[in-house]
Formats: sequence, structure tokens, C-alpha cells
Amino acid sequence: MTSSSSSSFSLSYSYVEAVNPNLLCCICRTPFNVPATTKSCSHTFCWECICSAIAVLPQCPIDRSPLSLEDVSLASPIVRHMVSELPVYCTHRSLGCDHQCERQLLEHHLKDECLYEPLPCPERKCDQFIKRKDLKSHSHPDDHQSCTTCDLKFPDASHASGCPDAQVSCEHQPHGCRWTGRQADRPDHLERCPYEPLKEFFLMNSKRITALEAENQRLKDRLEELAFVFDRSRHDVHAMKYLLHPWFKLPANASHNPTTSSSTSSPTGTMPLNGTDFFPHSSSQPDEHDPFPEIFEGETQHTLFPPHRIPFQYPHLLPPDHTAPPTSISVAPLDLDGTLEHTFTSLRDSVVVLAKTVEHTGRRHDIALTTENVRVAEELAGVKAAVRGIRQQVHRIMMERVPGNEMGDKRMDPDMMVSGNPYLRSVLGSYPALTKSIPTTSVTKL
Amino acid sequence: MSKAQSSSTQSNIILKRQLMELQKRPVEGISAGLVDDDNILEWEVMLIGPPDTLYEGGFFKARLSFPTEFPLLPPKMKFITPMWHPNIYPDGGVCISILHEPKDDEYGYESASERWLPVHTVESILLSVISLLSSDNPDTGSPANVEAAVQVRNDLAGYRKKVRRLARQSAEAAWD
Repeated sequence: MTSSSSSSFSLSYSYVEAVNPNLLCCICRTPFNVPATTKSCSHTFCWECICSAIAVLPQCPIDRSPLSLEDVSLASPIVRHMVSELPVYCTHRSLGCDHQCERQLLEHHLKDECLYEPLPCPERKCDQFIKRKDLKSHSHPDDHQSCTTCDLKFPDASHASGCPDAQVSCEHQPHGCRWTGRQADRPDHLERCPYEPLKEFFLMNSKRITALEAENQRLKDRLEELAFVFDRSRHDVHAMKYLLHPWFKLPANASHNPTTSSSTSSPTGTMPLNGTDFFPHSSSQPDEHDPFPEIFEGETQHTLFPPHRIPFQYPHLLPPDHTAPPTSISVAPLDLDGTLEHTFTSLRDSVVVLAKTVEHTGRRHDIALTTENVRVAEELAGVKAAVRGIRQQVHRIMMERVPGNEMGDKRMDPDMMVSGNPYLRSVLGSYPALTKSIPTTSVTKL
Repeated sequence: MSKAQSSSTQSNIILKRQLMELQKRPVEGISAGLVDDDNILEWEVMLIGPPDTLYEGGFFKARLSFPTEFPLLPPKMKFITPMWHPNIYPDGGVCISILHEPKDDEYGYESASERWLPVHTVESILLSVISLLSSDNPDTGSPANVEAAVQVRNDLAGYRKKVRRLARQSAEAAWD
């Protein structure tokens, strides 16, 4: 029995790849199954094949040499291993098993693993063979409780889809059909059911509803996305508004009252430019819930940007005797009612005026300085001439006083001469800078 | 029971494989098919007359009937196309030594060494038949068709003419 089954087994193997022709049995033309070699002529066949061939004729099928069963023995291990390690597909490949393994392992696979191997139902009364994977779901009619509707003890095939007497409702119940009745009558009802002809319509409708629901969901998502974007934009607008402060206007709110006088003192000349200090007196903060709260009042604007005058005085630059009347330039107040661009333009104009004034002042100052220098140079030249005259006089006096040869080799030191003469000392003391470098000083440069 | 069953399955499987093999990789001059798709044991084959022989250009139809013990026992081969050959019976049966069962020596003149072996295949059988037809001087010892054998011995030209005529007719019949 076992040998016979193993023989049919050998023919049902499905090899994964082409097998070396040397491993094929000449009789069955498949790879050796239990390879057997003849002792006398060393030919190899399947055990089963050579045995049946000898039973028909006691000769070697290849060279016809006389042969008996005693002359046949198992082939050498290398041959046996080569064939038993050939890769094969599972026998149940056609049923869906994708398993691949060595030939010698297939039996184990079928015995223990293969989900498609038919197994006898363990139930004694049942003589069916069930695929391993279906064994759990396999059930017997006896397993069922007796039918609750019709009291049938062992529900048979008619109960495959439920008891025919069971109360069921129409399959169009969701659409409004109120029919209920025996399961067996349902097909009859369906023929008459007013909803049956509308089946296609319902199907189409439900498809459309599904599509619309999907679209709705998509739109909801989109809306959420946009709400997020809007939120962020709102914050940006807040920030912008805060930065633009007085220049930010809503069209409806364009009329401010510019005539409110300022009462608080304001910094003159300098303007803080960092954002937070820019509006030190803004009292109200943007309201989180109101997208565009009216946070800037007319009064604050004018406390921040009062019209002011820059005193145009340069006392340290002008000579004390300069009698020109101190001029002052009037700077126009910031126009907070115009657009930002307009404000910038007017500011720029002010700057241009200022630059011109500065240039003008500088030039005037240069002229004044030059005039002053010329005057000082003249004065210096006079002093220089006076000193020279005095010096010559001093020289002559000294020469008169010391007419001998005692002083002939001595170089005259003016300092010594000056220090020796109380009159000269008092004269030169008032011009200390002149004592050393009178002849070549910068006076000539001027 | 299991013995017969297993043997018939074995022959079925071997024959199926050989048929598939022949159809997948045809041998020159041979085409094989089943008479009835449900019966793997009955084959219909077409042999094309080998070139440079008397049978050149002919199409010869034959039937192969396999025993369930195949390949332990040989099949029987019978031409349907009319043949004229010392080794082919007038009814078309082919008498070649490799198709004779190895056990019984009913003919008494063949050495056992020429008879059927389980290692033969359909292909080897058909190649033997083609080689039988290709032979210029057929063996007339122990003829299957005595008249043909006599004509070979006495009137070789007439024999050849007849064979050629049959080959022509077979070609015409095949085209019809």
C-alpha cells in the first residue's frame, strides 16, 4: 500500500525547474523516486519501476542482462540525496498552495502544514474530507440546534440560508417596504414589491450620496484649512495694524479729529524707532475676539507726534561777537490724516529742506571762519614785526653794553636774554606760543 | 486493486507527459494527437514520408493503442493509410521487433534482444517505423505481408512503383 502510494506520488511531483536528465528514470521518465541500482550492470531506476519491469521480464530494461530482484539494491546515497533535494511545488498547487520545498520535505508539509490538504473530519459519523484551512469552519448538521422556527430537528440543505419559515422582512426595508413574511415567500414578494423596479434607482442614489458625502468631507477639510489660514492672516493683519498705527485706517473711519491739541510733553528731535517704544502711549491693546478693533484714538496720535520746533542755534560754532539773529526752522506737524505714502513724501520734503539749511549754514560758517583766520593772521604778522623790531633793539643794546671780546665766542641765547630782561619777559609772557616758532608758523598758511 | 489502479495512473501520466513533450517540441516528420481527448491510450499519429525514399511526400496516418501496463508492455501500431510493405500487415498492423511483447516468443525467430523494453518511448517507436520505411531493401524474412515480400523479391521495380503510387495517393487523401 505504502509503496504503491509512493509510486503514484513520484508521478505527481511537480518540479520547480528542469531536472538533470541523468537523474531521470528511463522507465517512468521522471526523477528517481527511491532510486535503485542493479548490482550486475549498475543501471539506476525507480525502485517501483524496476520491480514491476522485472515482474514482467527478468531483464535489465537497458541492456537486457538477466536480472532478478536480488540484484537490485538502493542506489548510492549521493544519488538518493540529489533526487530528494530537488525543489518541488506542493501537490495542492492547483488548489492555491504556493509552497515550494525540497522533495523530501513535501510529505511533512502535506502532513502538518499544507492548508489545502484534505483531512478526514474528526467527527466519527462524518466521512467527508475537508481542507485543513476549512476544518475549523466545517460543521455538521448535528451541531446545529434544532431550528427554532420550524422545530426541524436536524436542519438540512433547505436550511442553508435560514429556515424557510423564518419571519424575514423585505430586502427593500431600508427604502420603505413594510412587507414581512416567510423566508420562502420572499422571492415571490420581490416580484411584486413596488420597490423592486426602483432597485437600480436606489443603487444609483446611494452611490451618489456616498460620493456627495465624500465631497462634503473634502470640503469640510478644506474649510478647516482655510479657517486656519484666515486665523493666521488675521494675526498678521493685527501685527501690521499695530506697526502702521496712525496710518492704518478703515475706509469708514477715515475722518479723525486732527485739531486736538497736545498737552503732554513729547521728546523733541529724536524719534524712537524700535517697534515697541514707537507708540509708548497707546493705551488699548488689540482685542483678540474682534478681528479689527479700533485701538487708536485721535488724541494719542497728537500726543505722539506734536508739531515741534527745532531751535536753530549753534552757540559753540559762532564767534561770540557774531550778531546774526538766531534763526529757527519750522517743521510741519506729521500729517496723520493722509496716507502713509503722503506722510513719507512730506517727511522727505522736510529732510530736503533740512539738508539745504544745513548746507547753507555750513557754507556761512566756512566764510565766517575764513574771515576770522585772515584777521588773526594779520594780527600775528603785526606782532611778529613788533617782536623782530624789539629783538633788534635788544641786540643792539647788548652789543653796546658789552663791546669787548668777552662775548665774541658766545652764542646769544634769546631765552637767557629775555629772562634777564624784566621788560621783555613781561611782553613775551602774554604770547607764550610765539617765543619759539614765530617765523614759520601756520600763519602763513592762512 | 491498488496495483491495477496505480499502474493505469502511471501509464496515463507517462503518456500525457510524452504527448505534451511531442507537441511542445515536435520531432521532424512526426505529428501526434489523441483520437479521443478523453482516452489517453489511443493516439493518432501522422508520419511524413522521409525524403529521398520511396515514401517521400506521403502522409501516413496511423493509430497507436497503448496497454494500461505501458511502459512495461509495448503499444500496438496500425496504419490507417493503405501501405504496401513486407513488414506491415495488409490490415495496416506494424510488425517490428521492438513492438513485440518481451515475454512470449510467438514468432520464434526473433532474438529477445530486439524486442520491447520499458525504456522505449513513443518517439523512439515512431523513429523506428520511419527508419523501417526509409530502408531501400526491406527485410523479407518472416514477412507480415507475404505478397509484398514476394514482389520485393521478384519485381522490385513494380514494388517500388506501387509504393510510390500509394505515397502519392496518401498525399492526395491528406489534402482532401
